[in-house]
Amino acid sequence: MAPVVFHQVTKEFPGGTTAVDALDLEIPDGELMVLVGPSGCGKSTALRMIAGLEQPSSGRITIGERDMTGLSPGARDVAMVFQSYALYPHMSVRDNLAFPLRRRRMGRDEIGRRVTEMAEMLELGELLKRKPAQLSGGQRQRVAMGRALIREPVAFLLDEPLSNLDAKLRTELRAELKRLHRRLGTTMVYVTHDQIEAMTLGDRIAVMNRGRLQQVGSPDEIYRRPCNLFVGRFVGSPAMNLLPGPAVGRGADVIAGVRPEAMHRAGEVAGGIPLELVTDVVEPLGSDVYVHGSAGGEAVVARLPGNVQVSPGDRLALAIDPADLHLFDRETEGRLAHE
Amino acid sequence: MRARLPFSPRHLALVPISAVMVLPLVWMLVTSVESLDQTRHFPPTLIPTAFHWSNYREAWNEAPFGRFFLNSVIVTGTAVLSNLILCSLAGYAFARLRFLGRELLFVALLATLMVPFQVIMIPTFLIVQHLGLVDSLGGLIAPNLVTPFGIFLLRQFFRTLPVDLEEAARIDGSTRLGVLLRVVLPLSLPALATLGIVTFLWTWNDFLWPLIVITSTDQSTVQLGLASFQGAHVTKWNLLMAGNVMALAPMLVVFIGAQRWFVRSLATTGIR
Ligand SMILES: Nc1ncnc2c1ncn2[C@@H]1O[C@H](COP(=O)(O)OP(=O)(O)OP(=O)(O)O)[C@@H](O)[C@H]1O
Ligand SMILES: [Mg+2]
Repeated sequence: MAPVVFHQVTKEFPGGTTAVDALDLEIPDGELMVLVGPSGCGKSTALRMIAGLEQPSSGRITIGERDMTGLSPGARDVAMVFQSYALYPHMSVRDNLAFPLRRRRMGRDEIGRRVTEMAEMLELGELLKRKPAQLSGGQRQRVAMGRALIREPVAFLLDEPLSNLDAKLRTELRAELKRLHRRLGTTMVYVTHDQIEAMTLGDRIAVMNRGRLQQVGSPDEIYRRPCNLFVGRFVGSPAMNLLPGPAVGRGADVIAGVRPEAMHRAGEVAGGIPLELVTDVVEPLGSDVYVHGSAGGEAVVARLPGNVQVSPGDRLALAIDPADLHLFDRETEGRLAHE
Repeated sequence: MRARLPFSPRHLALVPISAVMVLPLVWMLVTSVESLDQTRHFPPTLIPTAFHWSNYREAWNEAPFGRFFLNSVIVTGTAVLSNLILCSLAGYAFARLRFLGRELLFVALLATLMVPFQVIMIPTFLIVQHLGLVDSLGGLIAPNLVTPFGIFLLRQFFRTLPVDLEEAARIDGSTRLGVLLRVVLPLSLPALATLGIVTFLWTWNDFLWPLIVITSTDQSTVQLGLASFQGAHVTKWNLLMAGNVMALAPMLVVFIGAQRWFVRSLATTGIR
């Protein structure tokens, strides 16, 4: 177990792509950090630099105070789970699990003991003799986790490990992963493009965009105080609504962000900012209803209680609590303090 | 409803073609068990009446075939083994390692594939002569230790394997060589089988190069031996064909034994 720290790490690929740009990030010992961002933002590259599969163009990465520059992947004592699982197809599940231990010249008895232990923990007992091709997606995923966990690495790297599974299994394994993390207490770095996965899984979340780190914080902080327009729009589903300042009684140099659930029917909030929504599409979800439409000249989504009766074409009088407004500078897109 | 033929229509073309291909082979087999008189008969007898198996013993005794076979086996075996090892190493480097001038080197390698052997025959001979290997098995082996074709074939195959597997193995603590041995090669058996067979066939059948390098009988390969046999016993067609059948037999065995692998790997490398 060890902290993982990026010191001003930049990665430029030949051809001029700057995949990671001056990244400063500290992942304390035992934390589950999620790197999240849209496709191509450089999160996999950042993870691969921790593993040693890519070398930074400049800057340093340390794991537990040790400078990793120039160290081969095998010498770093980290383990990684790939999106494709990367199980060795010609080896049985048992040999897949034993592989990292054999490479570290562990004794036969010890290897046998650990494989049995891991198989028990991940419920792989009956599958030990099978080849990866004879396993289901979820079973492969667990073998991949087992192969990474078995040698008790100082840090555990996961690159979209759940994205090849169906939605139900994904939710189940997400909870299992969180339990596993709590039990082992190993530093974990988890990469995903799915903000819901990030919010539910992470102790802290690092949001990236175009190679640059945007914000680091707990899921709550990121959701409640997005540091800029990008983070505000990226986190949360449906996405944050953006209104021109004047529509909510602010200056023209301001963009106001309002979460769909922060829109209420007029009269429900004392001192609320009034807003008229022209309804276009109504999506009932049982407990809630998503009302799509336009307000202040912008497309807007409001999340209202399920018992609200609306039909397309209706004009809804809404109100927003001023404290729920996220104000951003129109030029810099940075967050503005409430005046 | 269409009337169903008991065979695929493709066979209408394939059967005659295979008949044409097989005819010389059959003729060779037949001739090898005929009496000398029958071989000179016109039109040639294609259905033997008596089997003169003694032709084989006679042919074997008329020339040191045992020696020729041993030489061929040594040369072919060494070439196959060293091609498998060296082409794997070079092919992996070209497929996965990043080094300065890799693409340029690879293009140069490909270019040599297009040079016919006749063009480099004399320079190769001069090198072998310089190494003092003329008229020895070493002179037959040295130029065949590694082939550009083998490097090319394996590099192409290695590149179709998922990089993730190799990266996983490196994180799991394998060296580059360990990755090659434990992950890449076990997944490349079809390609290795192809390379092994192709090298075997080329080296076993090679005639021109042994003809240039070898002069003494006891360093001759089977193909060379057969040729000298033909010169010395020009009229004994039945014995010559018996010798031919003996030279062909190992090749047939290897080909039939490994055909399954061979076809599969050519098919997969072709499609991807
Ligand atoms: N080996 C490479 N050579 C050149 N460019 C690369 C290489 N690997 C990644 N890139 C580029 O670097 C940028 C970041 O890639 P990266 O794989 O880190 O994205 P990502 O955030 O993981 O995206 P995704 O969610 O699609 O996996 C992309 O623009 C990509 O095209
Ligand atoms: Mg990625």
